[in-house]
Amino acid sequence: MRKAFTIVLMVILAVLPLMANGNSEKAVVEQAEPTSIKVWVSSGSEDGVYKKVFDNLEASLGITVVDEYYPKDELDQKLQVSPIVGDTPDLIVCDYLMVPSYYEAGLIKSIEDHISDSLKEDLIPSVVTETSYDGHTISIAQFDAGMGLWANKQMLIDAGVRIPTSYKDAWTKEEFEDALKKLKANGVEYPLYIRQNKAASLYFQYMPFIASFNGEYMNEDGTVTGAINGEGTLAAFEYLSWMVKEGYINGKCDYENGFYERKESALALLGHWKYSDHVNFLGDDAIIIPCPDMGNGVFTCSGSTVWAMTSAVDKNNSENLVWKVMEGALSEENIRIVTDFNGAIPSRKTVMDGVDNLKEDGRLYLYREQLEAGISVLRPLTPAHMTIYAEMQNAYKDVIGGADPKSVLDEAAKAIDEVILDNGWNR
Amino acid sequence: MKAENETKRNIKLAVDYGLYTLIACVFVLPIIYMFVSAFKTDAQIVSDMSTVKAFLPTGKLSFDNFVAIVDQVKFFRFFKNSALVTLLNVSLATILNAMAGYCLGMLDFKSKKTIISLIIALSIVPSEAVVLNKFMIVNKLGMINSLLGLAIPSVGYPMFIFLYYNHFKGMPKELVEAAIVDGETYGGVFWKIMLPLSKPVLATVTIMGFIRSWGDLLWPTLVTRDETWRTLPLALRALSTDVYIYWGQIFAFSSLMTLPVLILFLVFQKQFIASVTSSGIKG
Repeated sequence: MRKAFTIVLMVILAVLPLMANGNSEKAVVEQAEPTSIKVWVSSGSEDGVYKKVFDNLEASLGITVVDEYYPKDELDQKLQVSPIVGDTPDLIVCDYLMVPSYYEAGLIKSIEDHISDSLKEDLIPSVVTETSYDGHTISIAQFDAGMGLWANKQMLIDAGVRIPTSYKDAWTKEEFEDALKKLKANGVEYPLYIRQNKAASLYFQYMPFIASFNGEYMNEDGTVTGAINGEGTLAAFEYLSWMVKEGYINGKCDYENGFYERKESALALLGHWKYSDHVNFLGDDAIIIPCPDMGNGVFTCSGSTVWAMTSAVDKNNSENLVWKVMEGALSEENIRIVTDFNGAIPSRKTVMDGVDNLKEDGRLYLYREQLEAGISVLRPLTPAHMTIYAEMQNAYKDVIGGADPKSVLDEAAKAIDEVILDNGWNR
Repeated sequence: MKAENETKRNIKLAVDYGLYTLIACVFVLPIIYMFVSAFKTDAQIVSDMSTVKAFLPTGKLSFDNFVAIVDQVKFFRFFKNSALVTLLNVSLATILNAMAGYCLGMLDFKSKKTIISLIIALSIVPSEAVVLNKFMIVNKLGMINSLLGLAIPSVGYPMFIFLYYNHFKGMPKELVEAAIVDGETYGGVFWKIMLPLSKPVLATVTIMGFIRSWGDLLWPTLVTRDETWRTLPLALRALSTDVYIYWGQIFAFSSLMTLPVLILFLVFQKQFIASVTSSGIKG
């Protein structure tokens, strides 16, 4: 026994020094004229197309792009400790909501001095809003989300429900309820699918309803009490609870395909990213209609992946090179590589014109019409994003599960504001 | 009368077995679900969810998910990393914590009680609470993004020390005294007498340490800074994105990742159960 352990211990002690290859050996060499940049990308289904975009940029700029892909949470955790380690990348590609907290922490640089007025004017309004924070442009976006209700055209026709074609003729609240009732009576088991199986996504997707109930997630002063649990948002949550109780939404659904494959729903509160699934399964029956007007107007919501320059460019002397990469990402070719893959809406008006689906008789025209009309709402751009995201995920889950909306939202507001006030993130 | 007793006994047995089967199902069915789903397509898995079909080999079955995780996700590269980290961590943890437990349980010295109290107090501090401090120390030592940085910081574990301490405390001190009288050193007593008598605790610490290190997510998230030392849990997490969840690959990945733990448990099953019954560990 002793011999065995002694051998194990000796082997371990002998190889320990050989295995240490930490960053102490990595001397930081300042490059006068860098030809390489490091990029961290929040990984997802678009990883492949980003690689293609980076290949294009490498070829056109004659540089090397060292691209690494991490899941959203991992990227966030790695980035937060990167100043300690000294390995902050030059550029990050991630959800726009993550950027303000990095900007507040001094990790992100404003690109106000780089972006030209003509380029800014060519960007759609929702993209300008999502890439701005604290009065500065802090990122760029290649596309924006398209959001509305996906609908099964045949089911609507069979149930005798009017099909709106523009946000201007969206259903009223009464019409929406009538549609749900008619669909249910016509054998559609749960008329509306809202991706209740992944409640975290409702923080984004349910926003058009909240806005139309005159609700919001955050006050102007950066706190949430009175907004998240305010009259409008509460009404929207009570409405959600009502739809579940009436059996219009399947509160116990734990699958993704209720709308397009199981066909137990005729409507789906989902965005552009489900284009392939919906069109592949439903063909021409997959159409987009606007979210209903619940009394205070018709809304959509937006937000997308952005590219942000980090403050590591100062140390790496790579600011100009990184801007060239960002600018290159906004070329028509590179935008189309991404949007042709994910079905999203190009961030530049001039690029949008070349997409058949976004032309006036195109299948996705409603997305364009909504974004150009400026009826899109964004989730709050705040350093407290991750806190709000986590709390609202639980709030949606609880309300769908049958909890009382008021007490759920009161608790969420209290928990979020504690973090905001503790960190001084209120204005 | 005899027949009546016999019937009663049979009913009792049937109820007992029924109950045991039910309890076994709670533990076994998720594993069956995982292994069966690993052979299904994503669409089939989603379609079978919430129904009993989820536990059955329905639809087109294939090894496609396994091929994908080996070819595209590079499962075995992460497996090698996890195996090295776990091997180093568990080897050191079983020995070093045993040494600490032996000192505290068998030897008498000043401040012993204070040290034991501190160790017990440490066991209630969640590891997340000190993760940043630990990270900064590891960074200062130049062990970021290295095997040592992944394995070493979690070697000392209060619960393991306490387990060993409890075990050694219950052993007769006469054993040590007799050996010392015969000219053995304290170290010699540990290696030659105490450790061979500690197989159940060694097995428990090995299994628990293995599970702890094998499934650790937070620490590798921080310490690995590129692909070199990424471990299995990190690779598994990457299969679930905001937009798409690769169900088939997740189940195939989880199946392969779970196998070593199952094998380890089967190998040390006897000792583990002996230790659990003697130390009162649960869960």
